[in-house]
Amino acid sequence: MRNADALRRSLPYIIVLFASAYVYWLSTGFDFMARTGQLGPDIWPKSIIILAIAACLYQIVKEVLFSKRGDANEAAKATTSGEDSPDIPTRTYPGRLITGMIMTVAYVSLVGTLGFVICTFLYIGLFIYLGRYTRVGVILANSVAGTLLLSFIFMKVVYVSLPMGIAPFSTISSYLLKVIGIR
Amino acid sequence: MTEILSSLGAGFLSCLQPVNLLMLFVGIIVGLVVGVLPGLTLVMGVVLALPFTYPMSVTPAIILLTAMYVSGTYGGAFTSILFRIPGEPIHVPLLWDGYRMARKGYPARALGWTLLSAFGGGLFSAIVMVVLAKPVAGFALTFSSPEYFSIVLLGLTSVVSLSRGSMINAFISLFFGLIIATVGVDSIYGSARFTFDSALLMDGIEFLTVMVGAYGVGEVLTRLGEGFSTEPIQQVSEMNTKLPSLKEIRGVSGTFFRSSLLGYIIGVVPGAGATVASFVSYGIEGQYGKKKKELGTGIPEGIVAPQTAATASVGGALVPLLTMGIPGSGATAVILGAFLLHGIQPGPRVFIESAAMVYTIFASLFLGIVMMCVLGYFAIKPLVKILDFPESIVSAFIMVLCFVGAFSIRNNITDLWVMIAFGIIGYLFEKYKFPIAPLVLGCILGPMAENSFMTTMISFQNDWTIFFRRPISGTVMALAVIALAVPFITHLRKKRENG
Repeated sequence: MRNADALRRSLPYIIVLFASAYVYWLSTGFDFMARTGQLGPDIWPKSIIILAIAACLYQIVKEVLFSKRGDANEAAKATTSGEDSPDIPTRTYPGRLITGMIMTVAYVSLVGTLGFVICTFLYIGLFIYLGRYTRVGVILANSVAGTLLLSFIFMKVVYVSLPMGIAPFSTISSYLLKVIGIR
Repeated sequence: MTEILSSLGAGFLSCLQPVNLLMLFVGIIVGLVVGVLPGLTLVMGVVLALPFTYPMSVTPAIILLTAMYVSGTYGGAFTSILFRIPGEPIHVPLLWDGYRMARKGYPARALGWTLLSAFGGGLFSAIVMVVLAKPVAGFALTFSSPEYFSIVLLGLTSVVSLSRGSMINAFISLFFGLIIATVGVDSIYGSARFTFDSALLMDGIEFLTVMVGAYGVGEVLTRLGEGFSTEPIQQVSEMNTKLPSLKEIRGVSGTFFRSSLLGYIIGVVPGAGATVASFVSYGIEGQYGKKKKELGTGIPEGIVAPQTAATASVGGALVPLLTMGIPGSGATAVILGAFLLHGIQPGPRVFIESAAMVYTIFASLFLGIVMMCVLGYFAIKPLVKILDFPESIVSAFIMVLCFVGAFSIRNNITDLWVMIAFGIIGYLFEKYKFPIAPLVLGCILGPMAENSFMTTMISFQNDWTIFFRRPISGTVMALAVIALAVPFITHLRKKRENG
């Protein structure tokens, strides 16, 4: 039980340790020509990676060999038990979080195809709903008004060249943008 | 001194130009709103405002961001005092005395003390900033690569030692940021590092994309995982501001000066921002204040100390940014980004080449502080009304602004993937208690640290003792060691005391 606890607490450091080892391996393959006695472009990243590995090893050894069971929980309690500390929500919503992440990835995947206008309209609406707000009228109003307002600001005022998408979505985007005065 | 005053006078005149004044006004209002909204942090707000500055010239752009920065240190005080909802981590110490004073039946007085502290602290730091900036810039002109390296190292070690929680986590976060900064073609050998043959990665990873992801997307994801659940707002009978009398002000003058100075100094230290200033100042008041035993019971000193220091840190943070190009906080890192996007490299030469712009920014800080307090006095009711707005709607718009912000830096969708990656990293950092500030500061200061280190090594034939042998760099290196040693020793001492 104690070992499992220590392993669970060490897991982030073990992941970082392996990632650092991989990055160190990458840094051994840099292509450069340096004069004899002169430090190469690999010295700086290698030094940092070695420090990162040392920090991870220190923490892993500390967790596995020296930390008492429940230390982390006690420490967490100690920092959040103040009478007036801001409220820490006890309930979590992992399903909503994962859906939110998937939606965000989907937005980036689809924005080139659907275009900024359509993608943003869908994203705002779905995200508000995902955030436990259920008044459909308000969601729709925010999606439509928000998308058009942001498109106007960024394309007409700030001149950011936002993606229009590919046909037939680009035609819809162009029409909607024309409606708000953007050619 | 006369030269500084005349330049500042010209700065005031330039600041009164309609476009500058408009940006100042907009920045103050947006900063107050950002401060009030619990899901939107000050740095996040400044990051999200960045794309709006692209079509502007550099002066109004910096005025907008600086105004947001200064008023963001004040806006969250309203909700902290009235509803026990700190809009910013900066305002957590206000829960201990500000909210208590309000609960005792004096919310208007608590708000009055906050306004006075923000005004006094802001004004103090603005004056000191104007007086010191030019001499510091002149001094910085004498710096060579060893001095720059030692200063950057001090910034990096400070951000680690000032991070709350585990120092090891802060170190890992910093190292991660420093590695991110090495991605791309290195400036000395032209060697591609960690680019995976991607054309975009050849140019490196933009620190602004990292900031948008880690602060913006990461924070929204964290809040989404918590279901955007904020405590329901209580009814408050009185929502006015009552300024303290002169006699009362005289009673806290010691706290006021101590906190102003402390806030300013903490602001100057790279990596330490308004939040650190606010907590440290409250802590110092608890240790050395005249009424240290009453602290936490709703006394003015408990409001004056954190709020004065938080606002005073703004002027302090602008000094290393403008004089050496080293950002002192997350918000000044974004301001640095805005400078660079407009083709200006802040540093000692900016006082020679763009003095008019610098003094306009200085003047805008003075005007901004006055404007912020006037708006804070009259606009509390509409400002706190913003809390009624559903957080899921605000967050949806924040996410879209993050997308646009990351995309518009290089007009490339690949940057959006980088942003998402850092958003998820930001979320994981938050979940596993790794501080984000060292990661971001590592990304920003990494190239400067590496360049100055490599230049020193080439110039001084790999003699690393040069960092300790030159008087300025040696002193700063010693400070960097002390910055790391102090929290370690304190931790050991506490451990020994607890048996």
